[in-house]
Amino acid sequence: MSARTIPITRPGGHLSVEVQDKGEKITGSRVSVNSVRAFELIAIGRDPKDLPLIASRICGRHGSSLSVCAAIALESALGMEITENARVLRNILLGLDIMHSHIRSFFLQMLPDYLDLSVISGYSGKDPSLVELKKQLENLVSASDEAPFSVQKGENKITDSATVLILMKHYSEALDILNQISQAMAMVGGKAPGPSSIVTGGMTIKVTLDLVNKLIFTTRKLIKWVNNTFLSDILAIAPSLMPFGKVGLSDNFISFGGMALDRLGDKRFFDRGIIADGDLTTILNMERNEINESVENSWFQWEGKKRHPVDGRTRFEADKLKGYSFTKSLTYRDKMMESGPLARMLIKQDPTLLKLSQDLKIRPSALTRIASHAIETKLIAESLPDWIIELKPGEQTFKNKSTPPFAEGISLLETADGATGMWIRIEKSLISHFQFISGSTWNLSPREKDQAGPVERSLVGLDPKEDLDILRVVRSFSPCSACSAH
Amino acid sequence: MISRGKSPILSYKFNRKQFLKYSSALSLSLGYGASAGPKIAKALETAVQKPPLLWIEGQSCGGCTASALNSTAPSFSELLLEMISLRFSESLSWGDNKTLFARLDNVVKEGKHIVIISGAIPTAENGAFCKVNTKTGPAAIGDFIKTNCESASAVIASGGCASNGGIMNSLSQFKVTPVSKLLRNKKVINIPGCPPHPDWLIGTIVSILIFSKLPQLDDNNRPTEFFSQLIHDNCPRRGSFEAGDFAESFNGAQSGKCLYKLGCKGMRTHADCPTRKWNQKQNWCIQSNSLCIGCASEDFYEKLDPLFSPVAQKDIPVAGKVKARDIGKAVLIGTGAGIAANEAAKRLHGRKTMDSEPPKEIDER
Repeated sequence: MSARTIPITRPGGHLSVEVQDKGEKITGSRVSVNSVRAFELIAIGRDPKDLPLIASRICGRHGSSLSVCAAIALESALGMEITENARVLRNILLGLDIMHSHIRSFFLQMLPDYLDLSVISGYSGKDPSLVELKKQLENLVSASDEAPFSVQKGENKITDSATVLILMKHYSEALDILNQISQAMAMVGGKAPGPSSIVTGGMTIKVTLDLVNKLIFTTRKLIKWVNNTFLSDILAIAPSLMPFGKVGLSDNFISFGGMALDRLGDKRFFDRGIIADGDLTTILNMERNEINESVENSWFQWEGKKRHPVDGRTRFEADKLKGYSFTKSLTYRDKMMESGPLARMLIKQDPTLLKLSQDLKIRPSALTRIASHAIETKLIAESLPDWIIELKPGEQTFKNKSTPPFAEGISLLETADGATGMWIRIEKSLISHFQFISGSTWNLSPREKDQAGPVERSLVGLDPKEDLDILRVVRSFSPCSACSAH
Repeated sequence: MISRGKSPILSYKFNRKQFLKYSSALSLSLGYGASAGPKIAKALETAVQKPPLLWIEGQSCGGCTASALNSTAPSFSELLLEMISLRFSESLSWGDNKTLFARLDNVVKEGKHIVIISGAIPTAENGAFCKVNTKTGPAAIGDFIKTNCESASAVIASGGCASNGGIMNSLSQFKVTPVSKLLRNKKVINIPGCPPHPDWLIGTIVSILIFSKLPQLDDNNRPTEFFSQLIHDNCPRRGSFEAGDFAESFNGAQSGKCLYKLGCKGMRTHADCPTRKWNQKQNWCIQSNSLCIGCASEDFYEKLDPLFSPVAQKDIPVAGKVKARDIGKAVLIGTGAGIAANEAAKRLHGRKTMDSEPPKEIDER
């Protein structure tokens, strides 16, 4: 048996994976998040009201969602209900954040693995924008100056020149679209990244006719782009994706549900639930008390027992020999669970995803995981106008309530990254306890006893020499190390 | 500064054929004869390459990168395709790991590159809290930065974490160090902010490319263009401040009142947010009726917490720092600002409890 460490770039954030193999096949792997920022410790002793403005700094990609999550946790501690406008504004913001994250994950992180740029010279079509792009790229390649892009052939890459150029054009358009989504996020959140308007008690932004107009017309462009590109691009690379319907498998899924669609949250955009042991037709109840964290294989002090985040601990032991990651091992009923868009779409029993899986006769895999990013983005893009017109200009977005000396709060919410939770305790009006988990904490969990984490497990069976395939499967999870190790 | 041709932006568009033609003409006109053409072409080829940029992330949240993607002048895709050669970025680089680290080594060997560093550098426990991927496996971020910046022509510390420790200063256990203290023999440009505005970062890079020299920097090595003014001095709500019209809750803030009593840190933060605004001028913190949390201040976050507590009287500009005699002089000269300052000073001194007492919980519905 041999072992080898592979750096995982795109998304970045100091992620690496060690693969162990016996000849042809990977038999096990260890995923490491090699950097940590310790917000669970930074928050202690602070004014609880600071948390929504600080939690956004846990992650630069998902900060707006984390800010909302923190505000909800505090509102639960204060026992307060927010206004309808605030609820709707937060849904819009969470939706935009998910779109931003998925578009970035697919176009900037996953797509480059499927494009063979060496074929573009073969393009003989007349589309002026593609001709221009072709010339631009050819010039860069001839000057050996194509970075950050790379001209590399590889297994299962798209080699049709027109398709490659179109996808390359979409890569470039995606950068502009991300920018436009950020603009819409700033209209609601104050700025993006690093929002300002999400506070305990609601939103500081005022709902005006002007805001509604601006949101409608910005999102119209986004919806059009998503409809014309994202799903069709997944189809365009389908021939390359097919082999990934058989690898990168998962059986257990968790979704916290979220985005309340009515005042009391009886109806939610994302369903709360569990899928266990690959039984995709049975959606089980999610019991929040069944969530536990182990740090046996993480760089934290291990006291021999798992802890529920409500009394979780964060005590570093960076030189622990047995440790290999700053992510804690997160389990639900002692099982490692996958979280994120694939989990959400399965638990929501999304018809598009179900049909895709049936037509291709595939189980939840790297392929369905990648496709879920597009399916979910489209679902949200189409719902945004409904949410925007729910806004009531002139009505309140914020309610004031003072912090009690003692209180406990919790928030479980689906963010772009997945099942995200915050547990806080307030003592003498200051934060005395803060524990946080996110979608990537689930996915990048190091092993717990004999169970491998979801990403670790998904690599088993791959060819250990095929770095590109290993990277493709890891990237299908759109892992976020900042959220995961926080 | 950048030795690859005076104005890389203007020259990148040549292709190889155009080059050879150009260099042959050049060599003839210089009297070298046509045979010297290819040699000069080689030299020029290096010249037309876009200037190489390395983006190194330390103990970062990815926010600096996410913010840079929002650049508009130039857009990020223009930047990548036409202006710079992003040779190393864990977030964006294509290709396999071998190519990535080979590119990195080549850039460092040739030197004269630009480096952006985002994220903090924790030095505690031999750098155990942030290990970056290298070709030989995970290594401490500090060592990685030193290795790859030695031959650079410009080093930019992006964001609070890299330029002064930022929010990572809030945990002493990490022992974070600013990039400038790690690279003592280099002039490190600091672009604070959590995250920095894309114009601050990309604007600084573009100005280096256009003028082939560093922009004008202040005592903290921040570009004066972006960081010379106090947010408070350009705040559109300054009028409310002068009039003593303070919001007691965010509902009050929605009618345009000054956020001083809610804890706004605009008085302690130098940045051009009020005029530049964020996300293509869509909004910014105070326009969204929320406080400036001082994310571009070197005191963020440890020395600015609790965020919702008003700035202490001693830190209030004019009223706290300018001596009464000077204010009086200004009044004598008769400038409006002087009168306003004097008025403000009187008002503030009249409210003794202001810096110790948190704002009252009043629902101003």
